[in-house]
Amino acid sequence: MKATSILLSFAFTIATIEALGLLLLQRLQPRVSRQEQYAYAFVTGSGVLSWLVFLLAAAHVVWTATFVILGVVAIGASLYSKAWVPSQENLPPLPRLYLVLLTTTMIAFGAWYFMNALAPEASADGSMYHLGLVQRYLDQHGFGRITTSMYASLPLAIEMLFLFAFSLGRHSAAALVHFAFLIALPLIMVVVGRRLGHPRAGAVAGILVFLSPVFGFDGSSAYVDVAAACVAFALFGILQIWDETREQNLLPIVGLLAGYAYSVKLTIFVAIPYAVLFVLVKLLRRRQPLFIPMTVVCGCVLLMVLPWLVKNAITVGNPFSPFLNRWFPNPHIHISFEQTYQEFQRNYPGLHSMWDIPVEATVRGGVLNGVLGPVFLLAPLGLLAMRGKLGRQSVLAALVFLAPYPANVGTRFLIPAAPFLAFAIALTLQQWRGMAPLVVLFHAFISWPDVAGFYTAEHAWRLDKFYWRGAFRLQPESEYLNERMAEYATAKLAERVVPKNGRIFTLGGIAHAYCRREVVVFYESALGNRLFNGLAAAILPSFQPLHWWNYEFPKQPLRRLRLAQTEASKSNWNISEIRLLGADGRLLRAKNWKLRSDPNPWDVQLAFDNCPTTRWTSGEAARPGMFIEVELAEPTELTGVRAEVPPETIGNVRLEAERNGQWKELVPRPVVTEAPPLKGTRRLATDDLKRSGMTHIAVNDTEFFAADMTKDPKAWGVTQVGESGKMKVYRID
Amino acid sequence: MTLQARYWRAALSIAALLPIACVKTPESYPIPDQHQPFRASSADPEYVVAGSKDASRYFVRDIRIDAGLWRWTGAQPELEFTLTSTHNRTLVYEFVINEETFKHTGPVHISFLVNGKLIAREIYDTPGDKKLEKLISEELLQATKKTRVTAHVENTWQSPDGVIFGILLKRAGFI
Repeated sequence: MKATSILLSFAFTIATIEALGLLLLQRLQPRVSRQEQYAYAFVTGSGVLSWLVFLLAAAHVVWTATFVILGVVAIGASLYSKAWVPSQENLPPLPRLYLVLLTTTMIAFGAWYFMNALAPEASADGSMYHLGLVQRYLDQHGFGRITTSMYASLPLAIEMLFLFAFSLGRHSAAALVHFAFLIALPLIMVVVGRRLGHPRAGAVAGILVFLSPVFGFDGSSAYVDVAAACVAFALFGILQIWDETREQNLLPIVGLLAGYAYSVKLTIFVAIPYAVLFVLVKLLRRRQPLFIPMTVVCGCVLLMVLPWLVKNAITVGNPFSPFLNRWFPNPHIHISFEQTYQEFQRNYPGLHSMWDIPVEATVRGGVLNGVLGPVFLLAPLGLLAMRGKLGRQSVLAALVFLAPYPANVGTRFLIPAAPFLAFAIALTLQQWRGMAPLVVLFHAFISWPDVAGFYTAEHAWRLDKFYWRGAFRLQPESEYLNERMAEYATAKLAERVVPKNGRIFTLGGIAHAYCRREVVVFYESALGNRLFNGLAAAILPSFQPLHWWNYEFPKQPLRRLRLAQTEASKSNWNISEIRLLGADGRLLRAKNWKLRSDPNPWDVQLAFDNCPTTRWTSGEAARPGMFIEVELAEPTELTGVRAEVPPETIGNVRLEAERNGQWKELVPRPVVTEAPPLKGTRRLATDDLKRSGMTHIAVNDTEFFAADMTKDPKAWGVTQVGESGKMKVYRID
Repeated sequence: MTLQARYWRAALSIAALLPIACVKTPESYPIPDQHQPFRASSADPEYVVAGSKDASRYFVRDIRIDAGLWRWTGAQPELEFTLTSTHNRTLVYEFVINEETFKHTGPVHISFLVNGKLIAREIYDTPGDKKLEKLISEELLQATKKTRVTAHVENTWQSPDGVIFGILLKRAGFI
């Protein structure tokens, strides 16, 4: 796509956002200055546009034409109603020195960021799921029912804006929308500073944030962290104005922004209790009526949050998916996966202690992916600002938005709190004559992309080159992307060799945003976990049912039996097969049996399908009370039950039988024996992939089964159809 | 409608959403379609599970007959099987290298022979579960006649009382 088309698409998206924001402000008529009017119109307008795009995606009318009509109507309505006419009020001016500092640094660094945003999107998450889902929504003209990607269940408010821009200008137009938030954030910080009598602090804080390497990298890619920070700071600003004026018309914006914050990034859900409690406490202090203000705030929060909860409730049976699966059990995400994932997010390999975080997040950045910049080591200075009201409010907001940080200690998860820290630092610095400009100049020098490379770790996130040739498409997009990400070539390979209705299973390595085929990644859903376990069971003995747990008992007529877990463990409870032994030792199985299990009833059939590569799993750590049950059509003479399990299965499982409506112990513990060898497991594993709707499998050479599959594709029942670098694509025959 | 009534109506609407946040699950599931059998039957004379009751009838030499799931071998454990077919047969030999003996022996060198012919020589650098899976040429096998499988453990450990410890056999045979 040509740079001009991308820029026009971006401009159209921003104009639509601004128009919707101005219309909302015109309707609510809060008393704000012209600077605040345009700044807050951008953030509120983005919330409104995101909400409208959500409705269109839910209604399955996502077409480029739909968005063009929406944009034209919004812009037209704002022009017709004269919503663009600026407010008569003006904020106190910014001192000249600070205006010069702000302008020059924003132009110098903004040029780098703009080039990166305009260049083809090559960021990891951007090219994987942020824009991967956007591409998919556009292809299927709406949300569809995606149950194989946990990312599709996250609230995706900024991705709705990306979808609008993407439909017109593809990947770079979406990244530019995030870049717009990067520009808006320091401007809002300046506006807040000017409104609250601290214009210098606003400007310094805005510069500290804007020049920060992690802000620059993230904000010029199709990520959402800087947008989250922007929404959070706008909420802070509006709350401060409301506290000053107590204008009721600001409360819908408070609720809208708080709910929007949750929808932008789950980890800043704290914006909701922050806003609600802020309003509540302030009202209580002045003994003002609570009911209407609180109803307005909470109602607007719900207006923004509920669509995402309802979508998840309908699609995956858990409004808070991919989290809270214990509260809302469902077949799409296992509780054990959720725990493993959260553990993974909390622990970055290479981070030895929490005490390493300050230096790692500000100077090194190799482990936590990116740096805020050494100036943020001055954060403790911000505590001195607590002598003033604004300082206290800044520190409070910083603490609120830092609260979810332990859930993921990556540097970019500090982004929502960083503007408040910067504001507190700036409030302190402005008290010492000449100090603030000096710190700004030092920060500008040390954050300059060419300089940052000298002190940050080799793989820390930062901009490394001024990609003007790539940005203006003087270098072909494919060449630019191939130089930066192997996943792009794999995506294009998949598009070439997999038919349009094909479905690819992979352990990773395909840039979804550039692949218009459905890609199922092993870790993103319970189905993916199951298929991965099947591939492991094809060749790894530790996954195969090589142990028999034999429960033998005197011949007797029985109708309902169950294996009951009696011991807690940290691992899941897994069973590959359960077999009932008849009077003459014969194995029994009949179509009219009824199978049940608790937990994970949805997978119970996998323990009765005569397939060693599939298994029933509890989907959570084993605990007493779990069971897997079989009910026969009528009482049948039985002599035993056999559970076929992987060798490392632990736990204490007893056999129970139902008698007179009560479960009684039949055999307290099994006799464990080695099972006969398995055969044909490779083919069984790929058969299961095929039954689950997969048509192809993309395998990186480094994966545990790659060499085996290359050596004997016939045994796996696959045919290689393409290869790119270390990745091979096989068709499942 | 008063504002309070509106508030309660909104609250009730939200409460009404909760039931849809549960996945509809049937009371029970039927038996699913069955896959093809994936193990040889237990009466099959083509493989042995070392801990089974009748395992000793496959043992020719150098395998101890005692209790437990696995069997200790000496330096040259040998097994014999009667094959019903010689076409497209794979020898599976599953065993464990004991951690304690490994400390004395270091990497274990094992040669595998079928009817006296070398089919593989492997070096195992770590203790733990091991598996050899090898397609056996038809010329090496004879249907209905006894087929002998030998493992030459080149570096064994000798206990102070003179007993030689090789590997722990789990299961072996043809699939």
